[in-house]
Amino acid sequence: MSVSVGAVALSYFFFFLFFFFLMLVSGVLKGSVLVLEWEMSEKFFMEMGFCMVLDWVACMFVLSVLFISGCVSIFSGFYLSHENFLKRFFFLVQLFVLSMILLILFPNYLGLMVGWDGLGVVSFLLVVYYLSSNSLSAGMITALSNRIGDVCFLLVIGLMSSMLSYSMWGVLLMSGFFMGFLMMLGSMTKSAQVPFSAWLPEAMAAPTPVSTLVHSSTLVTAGVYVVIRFSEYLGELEKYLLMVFSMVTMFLAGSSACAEVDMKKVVALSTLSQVGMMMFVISVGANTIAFFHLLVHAFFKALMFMCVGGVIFYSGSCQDARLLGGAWFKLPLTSVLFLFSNLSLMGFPFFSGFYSKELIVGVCLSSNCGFLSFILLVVCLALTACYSIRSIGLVFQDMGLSSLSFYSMENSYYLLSLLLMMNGAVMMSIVMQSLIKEFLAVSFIKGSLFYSLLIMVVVFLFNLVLFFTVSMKTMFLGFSKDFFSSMWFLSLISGNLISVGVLTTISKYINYVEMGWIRTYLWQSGVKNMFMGMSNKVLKINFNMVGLVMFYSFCFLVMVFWW
Amino acid sequence: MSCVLMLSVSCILWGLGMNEVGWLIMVCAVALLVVMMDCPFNFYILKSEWLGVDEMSVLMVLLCLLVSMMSLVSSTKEVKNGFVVLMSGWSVVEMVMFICLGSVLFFSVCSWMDFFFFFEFSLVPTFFLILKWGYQPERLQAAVFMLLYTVGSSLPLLMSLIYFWSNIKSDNMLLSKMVGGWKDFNMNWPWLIMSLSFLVKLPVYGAHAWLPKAHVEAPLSGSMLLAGVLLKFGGYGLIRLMWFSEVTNSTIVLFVLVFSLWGGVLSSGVCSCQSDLKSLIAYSSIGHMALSLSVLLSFYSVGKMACVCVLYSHGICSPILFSLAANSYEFCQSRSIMLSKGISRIFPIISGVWFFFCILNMGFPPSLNFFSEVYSVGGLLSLQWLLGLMGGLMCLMTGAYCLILYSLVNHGVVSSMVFKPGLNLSYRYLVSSVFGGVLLLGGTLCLDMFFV
Repeated sequence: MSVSVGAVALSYFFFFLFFFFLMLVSGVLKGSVLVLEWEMSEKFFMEMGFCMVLDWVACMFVLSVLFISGCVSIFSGFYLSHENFLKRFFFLVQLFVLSMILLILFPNYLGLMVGWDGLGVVSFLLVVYYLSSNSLSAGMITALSNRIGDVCFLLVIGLMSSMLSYSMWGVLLMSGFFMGFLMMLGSMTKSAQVPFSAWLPEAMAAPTPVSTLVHSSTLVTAGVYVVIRFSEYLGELEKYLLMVFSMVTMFLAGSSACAEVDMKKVVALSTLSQVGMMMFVISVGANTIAFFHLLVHAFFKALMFMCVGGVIFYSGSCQDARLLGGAWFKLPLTSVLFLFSNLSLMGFPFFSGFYSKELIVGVCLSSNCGFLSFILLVVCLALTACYSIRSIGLVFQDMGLSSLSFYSMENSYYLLSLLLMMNGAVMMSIVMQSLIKEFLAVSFIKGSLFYSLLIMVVVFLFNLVLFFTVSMKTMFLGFSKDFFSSMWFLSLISGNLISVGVLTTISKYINYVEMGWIRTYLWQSGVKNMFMGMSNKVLKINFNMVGLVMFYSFCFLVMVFWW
Repeated sequence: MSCVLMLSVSCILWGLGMNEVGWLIMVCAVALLVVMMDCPFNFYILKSEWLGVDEMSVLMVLLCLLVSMMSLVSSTKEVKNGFVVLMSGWSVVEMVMFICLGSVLFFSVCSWMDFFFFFEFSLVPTFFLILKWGYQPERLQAAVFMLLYTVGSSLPLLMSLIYFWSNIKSDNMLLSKMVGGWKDFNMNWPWLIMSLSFLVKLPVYGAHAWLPKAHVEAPLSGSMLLAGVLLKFGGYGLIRLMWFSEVTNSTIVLFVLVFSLWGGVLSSGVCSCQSDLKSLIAYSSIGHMALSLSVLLSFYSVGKMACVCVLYSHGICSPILFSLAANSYEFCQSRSIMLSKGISRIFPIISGVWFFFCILNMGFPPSLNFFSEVYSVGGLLSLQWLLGLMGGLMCLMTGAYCLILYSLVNHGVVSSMVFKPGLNLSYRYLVSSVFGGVLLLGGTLCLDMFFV
């Protein structure tokens, strides 16, 4: 097993270094872009081909994906060490990474669909990796929500076929009416915005290495990446809609994460709220800041998933946070890194998430997004602080319920992957902001001390109010608990109601129409009786002499006088 | 061409005393394909008094040969056993080869009467194939259904072709079109009556009841040939008929378009609730054919190209799905989804192949199925936005039932029917699957050849 783990991880890190070099060339040194196009068919008037673009955006994203995949490979050597089919798992993970890289490198709708469809389908396989009925239902809702996005993208390709180009610069030449809206809708399904959010917490039925790679940094950010690449197709109306939906997503995810008990689902919902924040920033117009937040968030979220995975593994695969606890005394590296990633998530000053979050708040203040959305943004930041502190408390405090007291020592694969990821999460933010000139040009807001402290004070006060509200148990139990823990009933609507309704309707339809009208009446009763009866009647006529004569003279008259 | 035909007929006559005459027929069919290969892009040329080619004909002949080869390779039950079932000297190989020969000639003749003759000719070996080599006693009703639906609806076509022949005095496709027989007619209702036979063969949703029965009750090679080749008769006939009868875009055509598109959506929904593996794949055939018909009737040039591409890619993908279903029939002796479950634990490679062809069926890029689906939906969208939306809905339901199909066969605990000691699978299925997969994936590289 160690050979395969080592080989896979080494190949990922080698390619990471390769793309790092390319990024330096394109982003820092010369500012150049490499475009390779492969034309496939000449029967249409437009350029139908796969067009690969290697610019600094693509190189940065690819190197982050490769770095995280390398760490996840080492981590899965630890988490799935008792697994018989580890090679099959690695094969699936590599297929996934390949799809993601194809998506990143080809900002052309024909090439992008290869990566996009591949992501949806391979994530289905990864979610149903543990062959249980729970994971099958999770896999089906994941794959079908992604399929809605695929259909939207198919319609975009259909619309683009009337224009001149399938790539991201096609909008300069000709642009159609609904393209931006359908593109945004497709990306919203992949990035689990409202109303397609139900699949992301359900997809936590996958093994934790899969969640680390897929549901923190690559799959859900694929939608954001497509919107960033094709952001020139978005008009004013689409940007307003995107703002509204991402706001609702952030609020939904933040409030549901405060009430969720499964540890992995809490982290999934925190991913959801951060992705909503990225979409919000794009709707305001600052694509570079959204991309910066995407990359920084990928690293510390992957680190958080790894820490949670370690805690779950050492507690005997128990994911319920009410039975966890006590990591502070038993898993020192894990608890330090978990604390670090949570503080980054909150935007604690000078940790790695702080740089991107400060830029986000700054750009929202300086744009014209309205007073109410700013208030909601601050509320979401406060909710982020609330659930982060809650999850820290759940993992660290020793309630005496967990089996964590019985483990022996931390695995070397685990330590290695944590150390590598830690380097990434700590360094990447500062490295990116110093080296990449696009990030550098955006920042440097020099505000006075009062306004920068004001937001922290507001966040603290909001959390205090929330805490006192929640401790009054009579108000919190009952409706609010169900409302928040089922994601504002969205998970019940998306899963149960729709699927049961559709399948029942189809079954009834099959019973009445398909088996009834079409198969039975058209052949077995109707047409068959008609045919058999007719031939019987003709035969009966011919048995009688009068009938015979009349029948044949009738035929004779018809033939003679019609021709 | 005549010498090739004479050679093949003499080989058949000689081979009645031989054992392996079927392979000889296949060699003759390949010879026919080689003769036809030299053909230009967009127009229809007459190679001889009997043969007419354009690129679509070459593509369809190629499809027939490939599907016949794959069906013979995959039918281990009939071919590999020591005990070979014979029907008055013909084994299943000869039946398959007769269907193949009939199909190849159907796609290459250039006179309307021969066209009709071979259209009906291929039904006879199929009928015998279902009756003799099928597995269940329901096959009698299935075969009778198929014959009655198809032959009964093709009588108007025969009548109108004879009427036309007696008017123009020639039934050569090219000559009669150039002389121009239909220009005084208002071709709406006559076109519908004439194309009824192709619509039933294709099949359009209302007249589709023969297809699930015939596909389910046929043996493996019969199902593969039905799904791969015989359904394409309808599509090919419709394309030739549209060119020949000069029908224009009118209410009738739009009615058939919407009817078939909505029927495709309904049959894709019906697929999700089937309890029989082969029946599921049969209903998926109806869905794909509905998509191809509706984009053909939009009268765009990309519509015809996408229709041919759907016909081709479906004709390769669906037989392989049938062979995989027959694979699972082999080890649990039942087509029910309740019994053949959980094979991903014990047959990982077959499980991988199942997955690959399920996602190819739903249009996974960069395969040929993806491009056909994209341009079908795109063509419909260019015609009317609501039709494009319905096409998208059909793609969504296609994705749903393909994943349902995969998870029904592969997911979960291995059923006790499957996990028996001494269980083994023939690698013939793998060979034909790999062959089909390479064709579909590699078809992207030479897209111009399939977008005719």
